[in-house]
Amino acid sequence: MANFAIGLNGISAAQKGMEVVGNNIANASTDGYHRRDVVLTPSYSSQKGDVLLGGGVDIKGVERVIDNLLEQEIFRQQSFLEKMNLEFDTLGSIENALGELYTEDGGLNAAMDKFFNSIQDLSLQPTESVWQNQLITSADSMASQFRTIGSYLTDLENELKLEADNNIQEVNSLIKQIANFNHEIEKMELSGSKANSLRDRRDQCINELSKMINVQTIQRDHGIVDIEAGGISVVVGTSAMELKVGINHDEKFGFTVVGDDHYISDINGGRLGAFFSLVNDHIAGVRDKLDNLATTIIQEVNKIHVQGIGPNGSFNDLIGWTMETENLSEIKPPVESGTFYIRLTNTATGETTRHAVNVDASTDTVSTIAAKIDTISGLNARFESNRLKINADANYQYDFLPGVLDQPTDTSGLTAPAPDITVGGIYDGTQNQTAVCTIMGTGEIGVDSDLKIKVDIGGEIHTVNVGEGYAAGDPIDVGQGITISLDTGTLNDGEQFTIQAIAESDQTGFLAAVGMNTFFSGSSASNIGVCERIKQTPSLIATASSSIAGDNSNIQKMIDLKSTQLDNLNSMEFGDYYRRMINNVGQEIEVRQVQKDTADVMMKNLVNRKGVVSGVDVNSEAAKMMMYEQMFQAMAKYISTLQKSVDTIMGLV
Amino acid sequence: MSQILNNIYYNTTFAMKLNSEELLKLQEKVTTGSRINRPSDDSSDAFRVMGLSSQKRNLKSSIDTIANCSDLLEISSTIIDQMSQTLSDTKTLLSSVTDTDGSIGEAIYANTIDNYIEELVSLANKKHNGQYLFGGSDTLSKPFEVTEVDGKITSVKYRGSTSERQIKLTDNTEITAFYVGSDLFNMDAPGDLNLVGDTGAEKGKGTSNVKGFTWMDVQQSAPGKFRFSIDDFDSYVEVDVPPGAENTKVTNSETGEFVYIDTRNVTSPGTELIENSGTHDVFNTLITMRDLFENNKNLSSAQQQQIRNKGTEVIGKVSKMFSRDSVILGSKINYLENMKQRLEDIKFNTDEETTRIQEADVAQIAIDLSRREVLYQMSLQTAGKIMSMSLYDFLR
Repeated sequence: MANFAIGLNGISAAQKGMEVVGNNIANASTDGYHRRDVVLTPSYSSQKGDVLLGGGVDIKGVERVIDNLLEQEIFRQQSFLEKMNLEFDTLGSIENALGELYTEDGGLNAAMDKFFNSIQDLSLQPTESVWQNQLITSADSMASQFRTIGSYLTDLENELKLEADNNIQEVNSLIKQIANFNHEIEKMELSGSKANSLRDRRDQCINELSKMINVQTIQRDHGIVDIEAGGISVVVGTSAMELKVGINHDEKFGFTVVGDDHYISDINGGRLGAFFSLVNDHIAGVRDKLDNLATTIIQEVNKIHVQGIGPNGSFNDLIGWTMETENLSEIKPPVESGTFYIRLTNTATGETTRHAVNVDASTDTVSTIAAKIDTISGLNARFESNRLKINADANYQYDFLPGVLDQPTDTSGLTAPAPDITVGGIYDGTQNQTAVCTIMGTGEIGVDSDLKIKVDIGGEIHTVNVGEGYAAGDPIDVGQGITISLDTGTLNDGEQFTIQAIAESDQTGFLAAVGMNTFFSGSSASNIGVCERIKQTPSLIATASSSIAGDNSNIQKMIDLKSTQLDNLNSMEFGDYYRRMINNVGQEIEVRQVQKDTADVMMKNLVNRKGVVSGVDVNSEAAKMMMYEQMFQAMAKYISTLQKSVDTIMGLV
Repeated sequence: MSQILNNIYYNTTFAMKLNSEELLKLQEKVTTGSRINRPSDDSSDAFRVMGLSSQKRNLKSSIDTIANCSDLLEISSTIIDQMSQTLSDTKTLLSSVTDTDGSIGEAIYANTIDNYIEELVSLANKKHNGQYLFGGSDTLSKPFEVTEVDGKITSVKYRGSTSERQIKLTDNTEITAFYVGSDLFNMDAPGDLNLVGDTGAEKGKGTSNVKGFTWMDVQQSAPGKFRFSIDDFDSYVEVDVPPGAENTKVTNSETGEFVYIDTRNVTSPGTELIENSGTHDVFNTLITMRDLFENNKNLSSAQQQQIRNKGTEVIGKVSKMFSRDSVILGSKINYLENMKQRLEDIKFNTDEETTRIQEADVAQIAIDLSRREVLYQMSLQTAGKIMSMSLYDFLR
């Protein structure tokens, strides 16, 4: 009867083979399916003498055809590819938002050029409202582009964080499923069965997980797989961790296990890896540079603007912008210790005086500075509703003009009655300094010979004749743009008078920081704007750095900014800095494109290889089907033959 | 033949995606005509294109500014030429005066010169685009202020800025667009003080600050007492002569200007025309000549002739000054024209370079398009071919 058994298990094996073939063909297009092979082994039933007789065929099992190393490589590559894809797409969006090169005169690059070119136009006609309005329009347009890009980057960052949060929920779900599958697989395989379908489904989950985050798999007994994701063990046997995203102590966006507050952001694969690198490096990098550019424009333009006046002249009152803090040590842009100067004009007498206000950035507040200004006769200052307000008394006006006053600063060194001395010109030095004028010789101005004045401006010496040959009242150039003219009178040898020459009336940055007579408001790309008072009254644009109506020397200083290499911008000009930033984004995209293309091809090859190893070749399955069909028919014939043999023997009985 | 369905599908979609992306890129290049439509298309060339575009905008702005400055200087130069012509006419008029012209003729001359003065003041206070051309930095205020007596200009003072308005043309170049009127129309090379008259007054030791011509009246108030005035006796200095003084300061009470004279040799009253040579200005010269013809100070014919000669000489000097101004402005205009031309050349080259870098090669794109199209079709046909062959066709 053993022969019948051989026939029966042969038929059974053929049926099983047909079943597996059918299953393979049915899953030929199923994602994650690994081809199954029936493993048959010869069966041994008896031994006669030295001869071991076969007992037919045994079905040892149905195995998944899988190359674990290849699968691991696919997980790794897929993780990288997903990261590259997301980074490429997002950087492309940033590039689109920056809007460069789409049109010749579009984008921030052109807007900055137009702003500075409008300043140049205004320099030709500083009092002309058409050019003042043009400058405001171009400044507003530039600021608007900064804000648009700034808010786009903020929105994008928020979207990415939200998306990362959604993705981490998906990751948690997959982790949980993998742990559950591990449990089911272990249970089934401990009972002696092969959990092939469960393994496929679990591997499909791992595959999905690898798209989210870089994973490492560790094969254990009974089909269990432990998972390490982004350096954290997220599945150990049948237990799963829960992950969350958030901000680390170092302000980096990352993920960690629920219950922990040490977030990991340095992961090199998957969508989460892309989210973290985009938020922490790429967007932050672009935004930092954009903010730095906007901040530098605000600071540098305001630094010049605060020191000038417009065609409307000096001020009766100024109100700064609303401060978040009044502590100078916390104000941005930072205020430095030093002195700023207020020029006060008595409009009734025409007399101008200059008053120094000392600033200690470490201890002063806006209130204490207001109190110092308030001590100046003719001015009232207070810090009210978080804004600095400076008002001039009736018959007074003030400004922060640099240069020289029309009278010497100190004539106490001259014997009374000293001759009238008038100071003029536009100081073109670069330092705040005091010109010391020493009389050489004694005599009457314009009459006596050998009467001279030695003028020492910061070590630069000029000696000018004021004796015979000098027509009293005529201005004499004493260097660095300063002129003096002396009325008739007597001067004595060795006597001195001084002239204070101010190149920068606020070296502390205080006035610009509190918004006094500024052109731009705001402190970053997200909030840069043209000050409302300037928008409403364009003639307040500080074109002049002297009280000469129509002077354009302050505007000239602003034009110089365009081609100044600034420390804040890594010794680059505004335009170069921005173009370098755009260039970096372009390069990042180019690099991503190459990496993505390479990863795409590698992935294609790996998937093809996986297809060859684990995929279902329908022609191959057809051949197997024919083989099992033949086997079935042969075994059936074998049984039939046996039956006939038995019938023959039984017929003899 | 292996027929792993997933692989066939994957390879086909991969090829289609690859070719579709390339076809889209090619389509964009054709429709925009640009090889570089965004920085990532070629980041290094995009950097250059952005830099060149910025350079073009800046060049255009500089060229516009130069054109505006050139216009300003052209107008200023034309005005100076007109003023120079007026001076030339005055000089002709002075040379045509004869002793037989009589008071009527002199009145006509005075009237003609008065018209010239009006014209010169009008030209000196000319505006362009709402800005005074000769006020230096101060383009809002009338640069030359006139004092009139009985409808006639008696003095013209410069009230504009003593600083020129500079305009930045390029990063390193700036030019004066609005000149200081007093620099253009006033001589500034003080020389000797000359007195034309016969009172005996001579120049003093000190340095006088009157400019150009100044009338000084000498009056004998009492025997041995002389009064000296340069403001028609609104104020005066009285000196005992003899002994007189080596350095008598006579001041104009209105302007504060003064003159130092030596009064020791004064012998008679009269009028002296004081000339501070090298400090003449066009207005003062013509006003003096007009006053000369009006002769309100009753100058003798000889003194008149002497002053006319002096006037002719001074007008010659002032004309030379205008010629100098004209040459300076002309050379600046030429300089600006040359610079404008150079910048336009640079802009043209910049345009060319930008086009060369950015422009798409249409022929190359057409070839690439055909190639991609063929590849796209081939990937589809190959997939169809592989799918169509199956062992199952042979199963019965």
